[in-house]
Amino acid sequence: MKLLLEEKPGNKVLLLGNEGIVRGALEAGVEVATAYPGTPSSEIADTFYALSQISDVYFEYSTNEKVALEVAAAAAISGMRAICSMKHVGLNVAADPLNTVAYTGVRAGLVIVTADDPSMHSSQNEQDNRFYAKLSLVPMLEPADPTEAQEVTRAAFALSEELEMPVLLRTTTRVNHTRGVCTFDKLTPRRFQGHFEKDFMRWVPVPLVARGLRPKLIARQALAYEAMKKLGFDRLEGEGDIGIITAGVAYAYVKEVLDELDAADRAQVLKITSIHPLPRHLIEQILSTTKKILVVEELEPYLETEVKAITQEIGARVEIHGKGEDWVPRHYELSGDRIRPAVARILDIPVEAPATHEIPALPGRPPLLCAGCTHRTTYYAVKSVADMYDTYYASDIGCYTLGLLPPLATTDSFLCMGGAVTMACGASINNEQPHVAFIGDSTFYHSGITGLVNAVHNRHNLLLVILDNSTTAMTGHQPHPSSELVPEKQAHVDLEQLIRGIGVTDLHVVDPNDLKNTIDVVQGAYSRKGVRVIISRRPCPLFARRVLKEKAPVLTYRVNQDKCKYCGKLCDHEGCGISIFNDDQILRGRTKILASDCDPMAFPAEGRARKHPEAPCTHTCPASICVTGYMALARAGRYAEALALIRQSVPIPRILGRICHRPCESNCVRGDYDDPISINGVKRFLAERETREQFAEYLGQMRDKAMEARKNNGGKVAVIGAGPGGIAAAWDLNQRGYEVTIFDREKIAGGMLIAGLPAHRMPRALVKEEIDGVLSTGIKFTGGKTLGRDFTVKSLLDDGFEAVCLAIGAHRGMSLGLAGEDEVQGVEEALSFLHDVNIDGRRKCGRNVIIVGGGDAASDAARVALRLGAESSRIVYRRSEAEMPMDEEELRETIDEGVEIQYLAQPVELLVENGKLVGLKCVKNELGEPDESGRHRPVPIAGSEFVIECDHVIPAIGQTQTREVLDGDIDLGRDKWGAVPADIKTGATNHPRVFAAGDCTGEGWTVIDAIAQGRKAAYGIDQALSGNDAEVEPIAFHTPAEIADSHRYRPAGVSPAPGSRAIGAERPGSDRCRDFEEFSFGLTEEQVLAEAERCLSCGQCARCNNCIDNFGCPAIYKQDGRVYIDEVLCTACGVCAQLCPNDAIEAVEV
Amino acid sequence: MAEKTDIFITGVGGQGSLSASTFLGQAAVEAGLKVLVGEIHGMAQRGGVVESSVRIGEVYGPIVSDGQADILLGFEPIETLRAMTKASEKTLVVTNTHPVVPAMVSMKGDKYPDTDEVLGRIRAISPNVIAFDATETAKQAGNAQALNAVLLGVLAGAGVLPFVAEILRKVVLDGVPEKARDVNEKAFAMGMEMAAKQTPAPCA
Repeated sequence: MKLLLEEKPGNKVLLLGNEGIVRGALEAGVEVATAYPGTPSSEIADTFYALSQISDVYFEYSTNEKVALEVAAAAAISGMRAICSMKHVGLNVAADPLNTVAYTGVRAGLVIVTADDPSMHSSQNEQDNRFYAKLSLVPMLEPADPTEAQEVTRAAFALSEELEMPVLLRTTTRVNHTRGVCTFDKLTPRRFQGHFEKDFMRWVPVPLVARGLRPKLIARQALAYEAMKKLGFDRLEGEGDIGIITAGVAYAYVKEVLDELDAADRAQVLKITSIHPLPRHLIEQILSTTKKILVVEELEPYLETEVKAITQEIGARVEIHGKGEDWVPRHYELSGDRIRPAVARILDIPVEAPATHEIPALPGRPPLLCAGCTHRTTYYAVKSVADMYDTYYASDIGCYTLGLLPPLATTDSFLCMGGAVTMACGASINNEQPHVAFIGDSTFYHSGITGLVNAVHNRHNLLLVILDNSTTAMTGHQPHPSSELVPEKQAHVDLEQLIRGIGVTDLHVVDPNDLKNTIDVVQGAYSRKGVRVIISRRPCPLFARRVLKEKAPVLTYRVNQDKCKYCGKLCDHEGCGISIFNDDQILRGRTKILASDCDPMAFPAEGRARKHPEAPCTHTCPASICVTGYMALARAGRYAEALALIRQSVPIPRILGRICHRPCESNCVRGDYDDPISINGVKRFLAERETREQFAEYLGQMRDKAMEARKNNGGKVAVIGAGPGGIAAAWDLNQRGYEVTIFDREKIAGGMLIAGLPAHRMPRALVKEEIDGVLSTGIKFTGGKTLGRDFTVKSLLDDGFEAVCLAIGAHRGMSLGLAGEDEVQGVEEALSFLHDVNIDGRRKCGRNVIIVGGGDAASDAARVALRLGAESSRIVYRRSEAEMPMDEEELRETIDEGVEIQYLAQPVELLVENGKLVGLKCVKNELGEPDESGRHRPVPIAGSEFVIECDHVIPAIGQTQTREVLDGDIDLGRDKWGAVPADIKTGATNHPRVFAAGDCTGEGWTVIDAIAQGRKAAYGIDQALSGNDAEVEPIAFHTPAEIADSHRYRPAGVSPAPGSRAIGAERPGSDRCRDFEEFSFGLTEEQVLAEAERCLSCGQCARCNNCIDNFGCPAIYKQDGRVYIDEVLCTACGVCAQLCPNDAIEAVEV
Repeated sequence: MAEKTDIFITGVGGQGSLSASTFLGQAAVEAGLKVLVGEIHGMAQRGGVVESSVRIGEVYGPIVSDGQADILLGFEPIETLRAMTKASEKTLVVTNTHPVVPAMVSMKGDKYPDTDEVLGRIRAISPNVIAFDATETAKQAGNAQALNAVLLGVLAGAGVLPFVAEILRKVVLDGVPEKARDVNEKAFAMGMEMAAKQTPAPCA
């Protein structure tokens, strides 16, 4: 740049058009330069800025173009040569002073550069600013190349001083941004003799004065014409009866096409540099010496219209072509290719369309926000809140406009500099839609302030986010009023003070890279009304590095492939088939950010948050079914995939869909807002929707998989017990390649599912079909064999089974401990009663039945009694409803069917007459202190005894293991209840080859618990037999404390639309209570979709693509399904590490 | 028609293709030739496509017409292919084969085309192709940032420029920061060697 200040006349230098303009101005002795940067004019400003640091040339980046022109005009009025540069749309902003400085004129030279951008390489429109010359009557010159840019600028100053008028210099991108050889002329010394010469009749254009100036301005047009004629830039070249009139860079295309067509000698070319006033003498000359004229100019038919007017005025008989159809295109910049047809046509030369090569469709490469861009981070934080709503994003002009592209999509509109503020205000009138206005810091100073004043004054509803990256980044990091790169020359304007001064009280300043705080602040702003301003402040990383010279970070970030896309439940990173939705990803990203109590930026990584857990529902599920996953798939109508996902955790979803006790639902976060989601209802729907053919196909695939695995394994394992625990263990073992045999004392498989569950709750055919299906994948079932009688654990091991899984359940009902209980006819415990009905088809029952207890078995027995014809069925429970283990829905169903419930009572005596049971004496209880289970202890009230008549008493107060079956067998140790102690993670017992699962271990007591334990035992057996200890546990065990902690990862700050839990249709209680047909019909598809829609997508999902799908930093890329970070592009901002739901992005030392 | 050399240069923002065009323009000036260097600024640093042109000789404007490039210098394989509209069977194509995968490919799940397929498409239009992983060469020279020196070295070594290689070499070395001079010198030399190795048909 220094070169431009050197005298060296005759020196030939390669200069950018914009540099040529600067040199031309220096040669004319320019003393003051002002600008607001804007492509393609920015290098004029930047060059002057650089020169101002090393010379006495005054330069300022003005706040906007209007300011720039006013400052430059006043300097010129005060006697200093001045230049002012801007992009084409900038002149709209400066149009106000332009149209009046035309009246007052100037004393020293004033050149106003307007850089037009045909083709909109970096602009929002391609307006043709030549019309500003006609509008303001200010003379305009237009150079055709960089060499001319220098010469014409120099001449423009002389012209301005001769006419005492400003002069417009119009350029286009192809002149500004082309380098050409410039020849240096002498420099005119700078004088610096500013002084304002008072002249009321000139500088004070009140109407009286302006009326005097206006005729002078018109008169000066003729002077301008004469003066510009003398400059000699306009010229008529060549000979022939064809004429081409052209200007600016289009001249170059005309010359080249004439050369190409070998027609340079056939046409006269009028090259116009004087855009206003036009060189009328030359136009008249060409009109009178040609028959046909082609006007070749970019954009509007400016010359063409003028030429046609002159033709008419002088009565020339000449054909004129220009922007008409099929001639010169009106839109976009021209090129040789684009004007060749028109030039050839006017010359009557046939041209073939050039052969074009077919280029295949290639991936696009649109410009993006840079890696580490602070705007992206702000956008991500705002979207985390705003995308929950139908938010309108009003944006503005700057780098941040690039937020329009996916995945950010935070630019719904923009109009002009500063327009975001006011558009958001206008759009919010009578519109409840939330809105956010984004504006850059420089743009805010340029034109946003007045809009904000308007918003405050007129009490608009506005959330304004000022993207303060401390620089004017878009145009090349120029300073703005808050910058103080050179403190002695630039004072720092305090943005907060300015905004507060306007009257904004709701103002927050955030560092966008602190995502947690930024999201909190945005969320807060969203909950309020009125004018709210958030300044999101952090320097542009490129600016920090290049201009502020900040040192490169010593860190970079990498994707930990062990954590990325790995939830820990499946054996490999790609094992899960679900794809999660953007909304869910962003919600989960936000949940993670807000829930994190560790520093995600901490280095080394150990200091950072741990891997974040699954949703409370999944965390609570003993089998760890991915509930949020199948809810998301159900929501998308992808039912088969949803069912497949469930089956990755449990082999019998149809059965579970009927009878699971649903611990997930009791921990459903949605329950805190309205009702828990009917998770199991959705599961039942998914399972039932599967057709018989689909089920068979699925089983076939699983059988094939098992047989394939067996080729590498083939170990023999025995499972004792065909209940849910045994079935689950057998399923997993079979899939792991073991040859599995299940032994059961019943002839049919199912265990408690058959023996304990009555048919009205669990249709027999359904159990059979699903369990038979499981067995059909290669599992051998040997029914009718009883442990301890037909075989022992030891005999199985001796017979060649490498391991035994004990899943024998707990089938012994507990007794009431009343006198005569074992002898009196009419007393039998619930499990035995249900077994007889379910397995043996017993159809007898007492007339008045009392069931003692408060759990599922009590309800089942009570309802079976009714179905067997009992006149009354009554439950006696020792505590109150609140303590009852039976779940609410089951209790409702039981009461609906006509079962009476006696709370707070317990039996004390069986009343017997003639050896027959005639009644049950009970005592009333009151609630005492809580016991170890946390429930209130029932305390009998002395003297409150009462009698209930009955002929059948069914105790249903709990069950225990059948002790004797293991007598004389391998000693596995027994607890005081008779349970076999087993490891909670692997089912391991004290014998290395014996494992246990289900009720016999004394843990769980539910179907889903038994399934989970069965799968854990299968894992334990595989570990023991294969020695493969690298594999992770298929199901993690969570302590109650961990389950409670999972609520920390509930989606924060959501306010879901109110909804209520869907309930499936059922037969009325009075109708259904007399038969064993199924009474509940499950949810409809519509209900399922509504339930899935209510799901809040709590927890995290490893399957996500959040960093790419929602953040979109160019440094993060995907290859072969894996996510990586490009270390060259990474700026180590660390934001991706914060938003990764899986904490898979870690800082590492460079 | 007057004697001229049209060079079209394409690449991705940040690769240094604009510096390459400036260096070529400066070299032409030092060789006493008329030259125009066309650039489009604004999106360069934001990962977009950056195209420029160097037109040496009796030319008027900065734009190279379709099919008229004498030399196509591509800093990235698919960008070279995209710019092949400027080439004909007479064009010497010098292209880096090292891909810069557009960010949108990851986001939209598009596939980045196979390099061999891309080169095949390029060769189908012009057989005169010098293609190699110039990014790797630059790294071997000491810094991936020296990519433009490698590629300019190829042009200098291919003997297709209307001035001697030494002029360009000097311009490049004068134009880079002092501390990067050695790396660029090496890179330029490696580019020249590569040109000698991959002998293309003589440029029209």
